[in-house]
Amino acid sequence: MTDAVLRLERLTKRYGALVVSDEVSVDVRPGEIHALIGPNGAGKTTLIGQIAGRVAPDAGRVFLAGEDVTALPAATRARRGLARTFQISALVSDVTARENVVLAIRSRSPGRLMPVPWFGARRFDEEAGARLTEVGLGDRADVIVSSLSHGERRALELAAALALQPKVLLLDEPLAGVGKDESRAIVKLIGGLRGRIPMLLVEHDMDAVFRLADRISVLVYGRIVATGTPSEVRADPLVRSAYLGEEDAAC
Amino acid sequence: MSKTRRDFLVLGLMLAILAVLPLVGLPGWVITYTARIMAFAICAVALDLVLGYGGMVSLGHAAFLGIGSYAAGILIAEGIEDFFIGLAAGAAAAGLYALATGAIAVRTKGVAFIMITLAFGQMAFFVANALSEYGGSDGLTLWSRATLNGTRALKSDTTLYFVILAALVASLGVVRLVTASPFGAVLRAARNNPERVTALGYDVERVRLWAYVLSAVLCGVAGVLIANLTSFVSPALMAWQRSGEFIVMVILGGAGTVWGALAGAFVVLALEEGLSLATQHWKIAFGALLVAVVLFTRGGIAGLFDRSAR
Ligand SMILES: Nc1ncnc2c1ncn2[C@@H]1O[C@H](COP(=O)(O)OP(=O)(O)OP(=O)(O)O)[C@@H](O)[C@H]1O
Ligand SMILES: [Mg+2]
Repeated sequence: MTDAVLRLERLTKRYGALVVSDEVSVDVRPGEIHALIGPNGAGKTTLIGQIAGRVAPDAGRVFLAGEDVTALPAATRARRGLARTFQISALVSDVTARENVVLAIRSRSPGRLMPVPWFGARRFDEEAGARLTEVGLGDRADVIVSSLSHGERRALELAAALALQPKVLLLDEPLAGVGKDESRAIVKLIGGLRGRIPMLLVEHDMDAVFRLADRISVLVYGRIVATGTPSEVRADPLVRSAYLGEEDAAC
Repeated sequence: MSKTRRDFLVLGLMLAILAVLPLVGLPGWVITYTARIMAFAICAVALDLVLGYGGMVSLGHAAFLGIGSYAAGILIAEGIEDFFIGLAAGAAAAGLYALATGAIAVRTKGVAFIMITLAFGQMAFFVANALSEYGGSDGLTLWSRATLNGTRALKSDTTLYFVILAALVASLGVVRLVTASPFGAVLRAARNNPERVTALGYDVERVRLWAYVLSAVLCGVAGVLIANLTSFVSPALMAWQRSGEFIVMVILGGAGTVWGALAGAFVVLALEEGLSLATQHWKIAFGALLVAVVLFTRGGIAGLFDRSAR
């Protein structure tokens, strides 16, 4: 357990009377895809926010590679290796796909805020191109983001996050609103990262979750009600009633 | 011709016209008034970095102009007449005020940012009014312009004109360099999506703060130049209406463009002068004109030019 790449220790967050995170303890081990599932409003996005440093927890701690990062601002955490994607695509929309990835690559370099033009940074353009090819956007590199399709933006978010060379990747519903074909491509992409980059994956698409996850944690009303392998979680009666049952009924 | 090349050509042309203006035998007041416009244009160019590229609507930039001019004016009043000392003091004073107040302002956004920069601007305005040793609300008349390397060269309006033109060119150059840099890329990206930029590992508030400070430093320089040009400094320089005027210059000219802020400064100040000669009710006419430009041109004058050039 101590060698977890990401460890949450009793994270607690309240919005007024609403407990959104109720002593949540989860860990992500090297190389694993750890899925976090739960009904709407369970507190998944808020939990990702606390890990990434966007939302301050009321109590509890976040450890990245054994180091307590709870007090660090979001930008510092990102540079330390916590990359994320957003439930609702968040990209710089008035520049090209390449520029989004270049911003990520440059953020790792000491000249990332150099106030004069940096011609040495040209090589980042090529690296960005390679990253975009990896996610299937090779021929869309120089398209302005606002002209990309929804699925392409999801892939681009992934490319930008990967360009940070993260220690852990936090994915908040990477398949939300994506069509079937594009969805299959993204699942394949995420699966291809298994073993290389540990991930905390929030996703409502149960097919994808059970295909991708090494372990699954179930969050209901801010509380982790089960953690285990996909088959353990599938068999858990509490989970079935609290979550999977509803899901089956809805489908 | 690519848009970028065309833009730089337009800018070059504008600066070339300004460079030959004093040499064609125009009356003295035209030269002095143009010099004044150029000094204010420095502020517009500086504000554009914050407003056009950074997306921060500052309604307090006149304070930086005023602080620069008071720094220069007070030094001259105290017998320290060297131009470069005045320049350094004006730039530093404006920059420090921006650093202190900006550290708070950049934590806010939207209307809150407008209000807080307005408040800090007014604070400087009231302090200037209270400086009874240096003229209080009447302002401070300087008995001479600064000295240039021990000479009285700046006594000549033409020489001072060229000094101001040089400062304008330098400001345009600085803003151009910064916006083309990695810092500038982050500043612009943060205007579009601060959340994403933060998630990529950039401290958005810090980037905005340094843009704000740099912008203020350039306005401080403009203040030093205005103080010398008019041999007079007064709280009126810091009135919030002037901050509003800078915003109008940037928006009217075209925010975040190569030459928009410069064009905006000239159009606004020339119009003000022209309309105020033509009619007492010039502010109404000016307001109507402004509304027309905002309604009918996207991207100000520079945007209008782009569409007609295509
Ligand atoms: N800033 C906030 N202030 C008050 N309540 C909030 C805030 N952010 C989230 N909440 C509430 O916290 C709860 C958890 O929200 P969260 O977005 O984390 O859920 P989620 O599990 O991601 O849901 P979904 O599956 O719909 O994305 C919700 O009831 C939401 O309304
Ligand atoms: Mg959510």
